[in-house]
Amino acid sequence: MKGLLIKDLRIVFRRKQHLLILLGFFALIAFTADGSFIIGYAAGLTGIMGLSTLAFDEQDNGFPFLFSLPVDVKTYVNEKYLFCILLDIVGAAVGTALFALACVTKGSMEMLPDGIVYLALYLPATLLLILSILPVQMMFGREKSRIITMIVYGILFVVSALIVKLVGPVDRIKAPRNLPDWLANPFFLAACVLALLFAGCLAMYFICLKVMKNKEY
Amino acid sequence: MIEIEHFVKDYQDFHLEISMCIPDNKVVGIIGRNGCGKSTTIKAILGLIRPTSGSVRVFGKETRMLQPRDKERIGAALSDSMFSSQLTVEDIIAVLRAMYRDFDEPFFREMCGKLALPLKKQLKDFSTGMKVKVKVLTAISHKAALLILDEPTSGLDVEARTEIIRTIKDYVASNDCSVLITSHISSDLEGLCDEFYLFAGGRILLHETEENIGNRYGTVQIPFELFDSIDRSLVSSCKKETFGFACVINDKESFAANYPELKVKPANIDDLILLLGGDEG
Repeated sequence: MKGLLIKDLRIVFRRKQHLLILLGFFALIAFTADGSFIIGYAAGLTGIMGLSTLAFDEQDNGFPFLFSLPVDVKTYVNEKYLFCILLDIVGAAVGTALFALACVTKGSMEMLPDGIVYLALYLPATLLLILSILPVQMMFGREKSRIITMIVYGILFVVSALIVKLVGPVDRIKAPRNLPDWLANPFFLAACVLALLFAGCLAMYFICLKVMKNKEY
Repeated sequence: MIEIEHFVKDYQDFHLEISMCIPDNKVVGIIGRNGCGKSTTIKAILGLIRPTSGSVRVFGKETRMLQPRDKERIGAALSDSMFSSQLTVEDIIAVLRAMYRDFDEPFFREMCGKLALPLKKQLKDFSTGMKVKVKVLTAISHKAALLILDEPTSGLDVEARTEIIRTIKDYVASNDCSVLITSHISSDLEGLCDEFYLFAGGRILLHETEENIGNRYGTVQIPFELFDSIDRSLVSSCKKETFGFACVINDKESFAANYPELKVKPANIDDLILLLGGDEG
């Protein structure tokens, strides 16, 4: 695992120019755009950099050699998960720091607490996004997975837009009157969302593992 | 070290069916033309593909049961696969240091110097020869008990090939290890291997020691008018040519005694590839 993490970190840091441009772009967004968009954006894009290491492993038919090293499929999948999660967290932290810096320099200190709320919202959302792409990329490879991901997320977007059009914006939906108090409790709902998220990530992990174990290299 | 029993692998357009054994402390070469099943055999030994039937055992274990600790005892250089081209040799050293308990970093760095490999250049900027040197160096730098080298000299100029072969020979001379090496350039393997397997069309056509190939096998050109009078049990393979038949004979001394009018030449591996596996594309 340690060797694989070193490999991926070195691949990421070999692209220094790319990293600097990305950081500059994040700063530009943080200081020019309103709100906390930068937190989710930085987390998402940095997480995708984690995914790109999978593409580099796949490039030039790298998997046969990789699995001739003292690495088994489970360790490889675990490492990719860990690496993507770590990069997503680092991206979210960079985004939050830039958001806070922008708030301080713009004199809008009252927005600072919002950053924490947005971080709590964006981090799981971007994690789910990254970890949902991971098994698709492992199963279909870099090129095909791009198309499949775009199609799946396109369908999700259209379905969500249709639902909103049919039932109206979420903040205008009224909960049924006969709901028990515990069910309408926002903490309970948040816990349910987190539990679903965790279950989704866990399911994706097992899909990844199965896909990689069934593959021939 | 490696036991392959009735291994069968079926692809849509290719069928490989082999049984072979690589003993401890022996250097075994697989020779044959491109597409004869050499790389598929290597992949099967490394557990990268699943057999359609049969078994492959390495260190006494089925390949799918090999643990990372077992794989630390294997050094592999594959023909068409290596570390990401984004990495430098310095990065590879860091990765190998973390992966292998017995990684010999001073040896690796010393060999990089000897083989003129730049440490800070990305692999994508390396020549084919330099990439092969990195692959072989990676395989031999952690005291592996089993070296698996798939076409380590393919696409190299004579100088680079000689350097690679010398590096492998030096490793074999100073370590207790078994080596399985494949090549379609037989001259690279002469003087290096104890035994040879000749592959053609997904089958093993011949398994011999290097000594036996020189001592037993010969080539002879038989004119058409004499061909019918030749004892076929002495002939392994024949190819029709303009003057008559070019044949591989499996007992050159008996043949020479029975047919003194025909000139028998000692066979080398290339003769065997050409004449035994000659009809393969």
